[in-house]
Amino acid sequence: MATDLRPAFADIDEELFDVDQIPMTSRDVRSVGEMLFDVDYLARQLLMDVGGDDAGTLLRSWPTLVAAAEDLWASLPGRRPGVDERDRPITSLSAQAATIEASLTGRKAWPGQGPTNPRVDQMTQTLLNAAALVRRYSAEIPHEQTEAHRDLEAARTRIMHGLYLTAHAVNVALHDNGRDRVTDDRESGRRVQLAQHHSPYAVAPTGVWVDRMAVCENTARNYLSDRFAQALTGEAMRPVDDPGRLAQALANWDIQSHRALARHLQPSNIVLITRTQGLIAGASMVLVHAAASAGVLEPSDRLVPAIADAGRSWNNLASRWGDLVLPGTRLEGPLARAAAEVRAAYRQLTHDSTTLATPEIIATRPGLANAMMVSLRAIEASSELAHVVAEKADNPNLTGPARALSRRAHNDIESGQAKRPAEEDVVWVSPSDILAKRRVALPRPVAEALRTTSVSTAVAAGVASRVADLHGWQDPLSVASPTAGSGCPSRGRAGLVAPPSVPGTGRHLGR
Amino acid sequence: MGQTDLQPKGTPVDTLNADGTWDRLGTIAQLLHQAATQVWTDADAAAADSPLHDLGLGVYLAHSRASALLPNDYELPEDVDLLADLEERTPLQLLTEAEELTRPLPLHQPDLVHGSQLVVDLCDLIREARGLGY
Repeated sequence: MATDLRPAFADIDEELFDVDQIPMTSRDVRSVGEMLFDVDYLARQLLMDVGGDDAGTLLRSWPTLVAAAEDLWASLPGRRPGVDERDRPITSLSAQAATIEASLTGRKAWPGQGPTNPRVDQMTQTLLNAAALVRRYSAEIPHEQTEAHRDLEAARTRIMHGLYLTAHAVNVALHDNGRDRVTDDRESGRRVQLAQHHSPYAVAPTGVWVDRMAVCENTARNYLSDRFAQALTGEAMRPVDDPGRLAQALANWDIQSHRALARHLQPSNIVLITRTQGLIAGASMVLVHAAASAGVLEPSDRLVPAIADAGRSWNNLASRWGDLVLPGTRLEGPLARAAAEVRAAYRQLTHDSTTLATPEIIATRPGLANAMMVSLRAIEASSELAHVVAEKADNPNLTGPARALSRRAHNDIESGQAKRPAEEDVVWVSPSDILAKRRVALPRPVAEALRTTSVSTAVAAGVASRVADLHGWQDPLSVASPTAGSGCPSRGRAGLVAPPSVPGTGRHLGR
Repeated sequence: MGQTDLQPKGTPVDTLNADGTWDRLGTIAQLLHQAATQVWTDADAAAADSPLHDLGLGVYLAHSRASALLPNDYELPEDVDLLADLEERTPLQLLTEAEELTRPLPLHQPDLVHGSQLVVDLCDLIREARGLGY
C-alpha cells in the first residue's frame, strides 16, 4: 500500500482537547462496505460509458486493480491454512493479470507505455485503502461467528463483482477499439484482414488481448454465477467462436417453444415466443443481406420481403399478447434461456459488442453460410409454430389488465381490425374495473383481432417458409458440427452459391 | 465490527431484509417490463430487421432475469403512482433507474446468485440504448 502522509486522528491528538479546534482528517474514513460499494459504483459507470479509446488505459490499469483486489481478499480474516478452494478464482485471476502485466512491461507495440485509467485507478486505491483498514482491525473480527462469516462472504462477492464488471468493460473497450481500427483502415483505403474468431473486430493488435481478458471475465463470472462451485468443477464455457452455436441454439429453441406451447402457457411466455420469432426473422434478413454481399447466396426477389412480412406479423401478434401481460410475470426458465441463447448466437454474427455490424463485416464472419442456412431452416419451421401459437388465441378464458384491453378494444374498432358494433359508444371495459386495476376477460373486439392476427401470422409465416425452402436447406446436424466451419452445405438447393474458398465449386445454383 | 463493518453505512436498513430486497427487485421488474414494452413499440414502427427488436428482447430477458430472482409467492406491489409515471419515462430512463435500484442488492445472498449478471446486462443495455439514440 502506498504511504499515506496525510494526518490521521492520532496525529492531531492534542487538538482533541482544544474546545476551539475541530480535529480534521483527509484520510478515507469510510467503512470497508462503503468502499466496496464505491468500487461497484465506479465499475458500473465505467461499463456504461466505456468506448474504444479507453482500451489502452484500461488494459494498463487492469493488473494493478486485480493485485489490489487480491490484497484485500488476502487481508480478510478467516482464511483456512493451505490451498483454499474458495480462493482459487482470485488466485487464478491474479496469475492471469500478472502475465498481462509482464506482457505489457517494456512493450513498444500497442498498447505500449502510457497513461492508466483514472476510474480504475480510483477503484484500485479504494481497494488498497480497504485492505489496510481490514488488516488494522482484522484481529477484532469474530470471523468464526455466523454474522461475521456472512459479512466476509459478502465482501468477497463484492470484490469479485467489481472485477467481473471491470473485465467485461475492458473487453467491450477492446472490441470497440478493434472496430474503430477497421473503420479507420477502410476509410483510408487500406486492406483489412478481419479476425476469424470472437469478433471480426478482434483484429491485431487487440485480438490477443480480447482472448486474454475473456478468460479473466469468465473466471470472475464463474465465481459469481454459483459462487465457486461451477469454477471448481471445471465447467467449460461454450467457446464464443463455435460455428455450430446458432444451429444448436435454434434447435433448442424449437424444442423449448414446442414444449412450452404443449402446456397451458401464460401470455408472458407467448410474448417471448412471438418476439423471438420476430427476432429470428429480422436477424435472418440481416444474414441474407450479408450472404448476398459475400456472394454466398443469390436471394430471389421474394425472399427478403417474405421474411420481413413474417417478422412484422410475429411482432404485431406479440404486441397483442403483450396487452395481456402483467409486469413481473415469470417466464418459463428453459424457454427464457433458449431465447437468450438464440439472441446471443445471432449477435455473435450480426453484432459487434452492442452495435449492429454492417453486411460487409458480417459477410466476413466464419460460418456465415451455415448460419444463414440454419436461420432459413428456422424460418421454414416457423410456419408450423405459428399454427400452434394461433390455437392459443382460441382460449375463451384469456384475461388481461382492464386498462390495456379497453384501449386496445377501441383502437381495434377504430382501425377496422374488429367488427364495428351496431350501437354507438360501446363501453368495452367497465371504468370501475379500470380504476380497480382488475384483470378482465378479453372484450369481443380484442379477442376477434387476436384471432385474426394469429391467422395472418400463420399465413405470413407460411409464405416465408415456402420461399425459404426454395433457397435450400441441409441437415441441421451436419451444420451443428463445430468442424463445419464456413463450408457450403453439401446438399444445398437453389439459391445457394458455394463460397469462393472452396475450389471448383463456385457454380451458382440460383434460379 | 466498528469501522470494519463490511456493509455500506448509507444503505437503507431494509436492503438486507428479504422484504425490502424483494420489493426492490419487483420494482426493477416493473421498470424493465415497461422499458421492453416501449422499445418494442418503437421497434414495431421501424423495419423488421431494426436493431430495436433485439434491444427489446434483451430488455425483456433482463426483466425475466429480475423476475426469476423473486420468490414464487411474491406479488408485485401495486404502486399506482409508480405505474402511471412509468409511461412518461423514456426506455433509457427506465433502464437507468432499474440499474440504480440494483446497487444495494445483497448479491452475496444465495437467492441472488445471478444478480451480478443482471447488473452487467443492465449496464450493457444502457450503453446499447444510448447507441441507438435513446
